[in-house]
Amino acid sequence: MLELENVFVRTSDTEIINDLSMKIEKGKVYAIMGPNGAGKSTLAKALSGHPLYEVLGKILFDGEDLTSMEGEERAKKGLFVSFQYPIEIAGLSFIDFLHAAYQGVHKEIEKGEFRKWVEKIAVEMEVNPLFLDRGLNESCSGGEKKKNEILQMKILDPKCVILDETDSGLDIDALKVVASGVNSFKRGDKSIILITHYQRLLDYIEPDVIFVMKGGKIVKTGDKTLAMELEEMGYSQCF
Amino acid sequence: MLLTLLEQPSSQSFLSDLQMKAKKKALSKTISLKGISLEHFEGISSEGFSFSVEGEGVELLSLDQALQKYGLFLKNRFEKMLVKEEGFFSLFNRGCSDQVFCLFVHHSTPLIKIAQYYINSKKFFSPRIQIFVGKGVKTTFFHTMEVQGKDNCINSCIDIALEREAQVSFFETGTIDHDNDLFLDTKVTVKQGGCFTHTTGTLGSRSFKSEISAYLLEKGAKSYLEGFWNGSKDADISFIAHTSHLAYETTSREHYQGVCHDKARASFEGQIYVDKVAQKTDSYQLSKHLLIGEKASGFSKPNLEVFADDVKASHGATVSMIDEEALFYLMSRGISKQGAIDLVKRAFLAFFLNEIGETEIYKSFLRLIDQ
Repeated sequence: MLELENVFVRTSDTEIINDLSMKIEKGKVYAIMGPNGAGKSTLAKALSGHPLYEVLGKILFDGEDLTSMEGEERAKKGLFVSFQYPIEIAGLSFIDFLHAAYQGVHKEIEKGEFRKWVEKIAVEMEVNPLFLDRGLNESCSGGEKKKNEILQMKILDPKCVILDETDSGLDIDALKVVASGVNSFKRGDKSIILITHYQRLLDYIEPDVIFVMKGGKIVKTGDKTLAMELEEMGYSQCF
Repeated sequence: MLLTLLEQPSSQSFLSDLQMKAKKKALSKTISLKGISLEHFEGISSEGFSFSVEGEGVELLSLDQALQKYGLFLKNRFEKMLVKEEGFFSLFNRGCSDQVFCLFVHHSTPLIKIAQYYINSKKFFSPRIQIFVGKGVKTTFFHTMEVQGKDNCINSCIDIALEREAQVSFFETGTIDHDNDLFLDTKVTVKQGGCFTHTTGTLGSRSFKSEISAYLLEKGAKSYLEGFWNGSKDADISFIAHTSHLAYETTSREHYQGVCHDKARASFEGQIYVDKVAQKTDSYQLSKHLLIGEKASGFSKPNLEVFADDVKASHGATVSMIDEEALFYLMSRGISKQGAIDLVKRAFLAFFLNEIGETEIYKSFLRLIDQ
């Protein structure tokens, strides 16, 4: 589904991702782990088309080259990135934002009908429907923002999701809710990529493949036992 | 240019004939008056102008009728307020106005609609509205202006008197063809325990100026002044807000923010004056400009004059370009770049909408924002 071929990512003065290649298949869950500064979040932002990053190499999605596409087009193709620090926009209600996003990705839908559907999913995810009228992520705790991201994911129903440190800022109960949301998303035609520092998220969402990043490269690939190994030994002793 | 012409000796004499004080300092420094010339106008006129008021129990009188019925009261009001008129456009209105409408609101009523329609070209209109709100009256005014035609100049003044404990929300908006100029001047006095909220919004005509002066005369009086603009093309927009705290324990807010696109220019000049007797004043002033496009510009001139020593008085001002991270986030969810800009702009302009609730006024402002 998603294929990276010799990808380099840099800002105006720093190279962050250095010749990275990986293949993401349909129906599988991947985890990308690594120490701080390994380039994990940069990879997520670069995949979503952040204009700050210059990308060399090829990003293929269902065989189509996404490398020079805007974020909007990538989203329409079915790529969704849940960001580590979702932005706040006061004055733009969550429901208006989500309605515009849904209509951008899918089709026109009457707002009242859309709202009813979103409210139902929000309740399932233990998101208070009153949040739908609040400004986008405005005055939300870290955990609430992450739940909002997963709610967006469920509504927009992309093919491939990249969840950047979705577990950070979550208490145990919220972590279970978010994990349950992600697990309910697992299907044969979907791919999930979890970016995390810790094993704990992987206790709730079991990965098929783990990539370990360091210095902007994939330095190790393994199955879920690799995460336990990293948890025990730490990144510095593993490499 | 109108301004230049009016500063010439012959115009000074004209102003003098009208018993207007042509104080140089009072001439607007914040609006360029570009494109306005006396030769645009074929004269001061009321032709093509209509005025209507809807509202239960509202008494609408002409000036003559009002003088007959409330003569002493009106004369007293005029004597007090006319000396406060220093702004160029209010002085000009005073000199030129041939149409004065007097509204008396004696009892609480949910909504009073005031509508001004102008359909003409190359005319100068100068109506004046006097509003009197009785003791303890609670009401909401919705003032709309529609200007059709080209090269008209509207110089409209409103003077509002709130008696004790009166609670008034005043919403003001307009549909104005771009090639017209609109100058609004509003004055309000608030007595003990009264509360006045004023919200005005504009898309920006060629030249738009709104000047409001609120006088908090007695203990516990409050005023909340807010405005927004959504200017495009070469619109020249100016908001001026003065609040005078003249008594103990008075409260005020001035909050103005808006967006400029293309070559539009907006300015905000705010003044909060706290008299030495106005101890325990609580006041705050905020102005925010959002600029979309490299040629748009925004200016803010906050100004606090505080002569009491036990007050809260502060201000904030920002001028910013659109947040690229916000655009990126919205686009990453499948929203087009223009769609994302529109959403960010709308979010910025809608700062006051939540407090209105989904009413006719809300919808009208929303249409203005979305245009």
